[in-house]
Amino acid sequence: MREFGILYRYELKKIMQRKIVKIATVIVFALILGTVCAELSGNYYVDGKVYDTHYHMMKTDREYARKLNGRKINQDLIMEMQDAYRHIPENEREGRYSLTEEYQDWARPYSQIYQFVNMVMEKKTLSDLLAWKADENELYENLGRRIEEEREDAFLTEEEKAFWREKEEQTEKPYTFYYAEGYWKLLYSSYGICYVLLLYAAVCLADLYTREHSLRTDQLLLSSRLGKRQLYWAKALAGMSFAGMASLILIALVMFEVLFIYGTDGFQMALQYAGAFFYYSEPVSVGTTVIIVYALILAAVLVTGAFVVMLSELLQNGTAVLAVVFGMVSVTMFFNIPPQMRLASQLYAYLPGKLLSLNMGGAFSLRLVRVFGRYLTTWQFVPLLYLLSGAAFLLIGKWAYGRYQVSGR
Amino acid sequence: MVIMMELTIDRVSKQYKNKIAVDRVSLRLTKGIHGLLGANGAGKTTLMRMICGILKPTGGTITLDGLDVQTEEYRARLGYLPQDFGYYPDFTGYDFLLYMAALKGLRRTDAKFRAKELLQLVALEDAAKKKIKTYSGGMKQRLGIAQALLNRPDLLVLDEPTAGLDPKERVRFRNLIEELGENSIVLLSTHIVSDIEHIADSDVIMMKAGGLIYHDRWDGSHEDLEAFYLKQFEEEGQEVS
Repeated sequence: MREFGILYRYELKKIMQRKIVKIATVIVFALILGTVCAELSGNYYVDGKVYDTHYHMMKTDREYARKLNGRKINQDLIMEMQDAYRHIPENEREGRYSLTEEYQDWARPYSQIYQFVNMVMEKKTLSDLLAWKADENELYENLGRRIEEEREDAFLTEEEKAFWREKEEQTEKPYTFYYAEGYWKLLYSSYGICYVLLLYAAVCLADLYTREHSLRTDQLLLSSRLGKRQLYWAKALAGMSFAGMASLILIALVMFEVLFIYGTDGFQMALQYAGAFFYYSEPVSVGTTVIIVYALILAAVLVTGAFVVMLSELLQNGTAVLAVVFGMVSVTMFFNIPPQMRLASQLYAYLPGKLLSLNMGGAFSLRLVRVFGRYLTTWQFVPLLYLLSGAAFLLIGKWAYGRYQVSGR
Repeated sequence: MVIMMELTIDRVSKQYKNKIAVDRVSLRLTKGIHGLLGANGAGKTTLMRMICGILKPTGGTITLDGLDVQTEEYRARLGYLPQDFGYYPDFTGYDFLLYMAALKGLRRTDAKFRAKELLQLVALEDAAKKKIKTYSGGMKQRLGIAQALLNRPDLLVLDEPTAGLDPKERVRFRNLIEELGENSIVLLSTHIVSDIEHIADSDVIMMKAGGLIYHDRWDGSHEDLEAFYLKQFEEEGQEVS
């Protein structure tokens, strides 16, 4: 075990000494940390003139939203919101009403409630929403109807529908509003971060083994006592833990940056409040969802690392490995399998590049997997799947490593 | 307990599609120096790779005191310096030896002691903390020799070990090999005949087109080895001894 630890440290050192790894690390860290809050830089222009800075606008909205912290989105709050929006002159309601003084003075503090109500009631214009006679029961009934529609669209089985209905009953209604912009920001940034980290893992690990062949050190390694078995595992562990640790550090920095700028409040806000998750009846908060999502990113990085280790040994060519991984991740960005093709689309959703797309086809899909008589949601099932497939990738890689022979040259 | 120390190569062959690189070679090697001579493409490197377990024979077996070439125990007793071996450019010479020592299963304290001892032996102690990418060809070769000796191998396989060494270093190296041959099986491949000729009581093995054409002790009393070597390659159909 001590020998393994020493080998592991040397393998880690070899990875970190590589120029491409250093460059990729700097680029990835700079890219993600530099862009995750980039929307706050610069000014907001109206008709070519500076209207406000993005940062100041965020601060203003944050201040307004915080005043509503802890309030239930119920009859009172809906009516309050409508009353505030009615201050906007009628002749301005169809245009850029957010530029009016009335909006700024009265309506803007309720903009987040407006967005939620409008998302649920599917009103086309502000006038339509204001014409609607506020009714809390109708709002949540409409939400329930839309959730049922989503279940139909996802081609769920009756058992799955029953599972989600049971979950729906556990969600507390009316929802309670909290300012939670930091967590929403982390949630919506997760797809881009995941995508970059998957490619980063591929770049760092693509020639983990093939480099030994190109450097011709393989002869020394494979003829040494521990070179045929322990070294493979030390390398795989070093590669995957490097990618995992780098990702973990980056995620921690991103969380610190975002929560420092936007604030840490709102952890307990119901996930279903957001338009992208209204259908997802799991009684879970946005803060918990952020933790789940970033844990899934780590799992995705690790399983991709194991996949790269396997490919590196099978293909014996770092460039080919990169091409395969880039191709696979890119395909998942642009290509979708129709939900009617239930099995294929469900399996496709489990791919690391697809998982964090945060739509109906990703980690928060309504489709369930039955394991040992118990239904698991996608984000519950995927870590198990990744663990098994990661182990399989590593074993196949070990098999290929054991078969390698030094010949030619 | 008397350690037997015998490398047995039994009808070992290596075939690549239509080409036979090594053809049913059988050898029994005991303690001492064994010089392997042959022209380029004779099959020396292929045979050595098979002896080191990094290339699987198509047929035949290789054992060291009954241990199969593919076992960890066999590799624990092996030291190997490949022809044109690789290194990690950003490692220091000392670090490289520590890494190789870890691969050979040496304990950390033993590894440090042995690495320093060998760096001194190959006259690299002053360059121990320098990165290998700054080393000359000869220095790299000496570092390669040092790594092969880390585990005090019973079987030492050296493929063209004097390549890149200056004449003074070659003499030092020959003396070192002679010492090692007292306690180990040393298989030394070279195309420089004098490397073997100057080592007293060495065993000479000659290969041609994948087969053995000569194997006997060379005491240097009856003929010049280089002349004898050239004669073997001039005469077609030479009987294998």
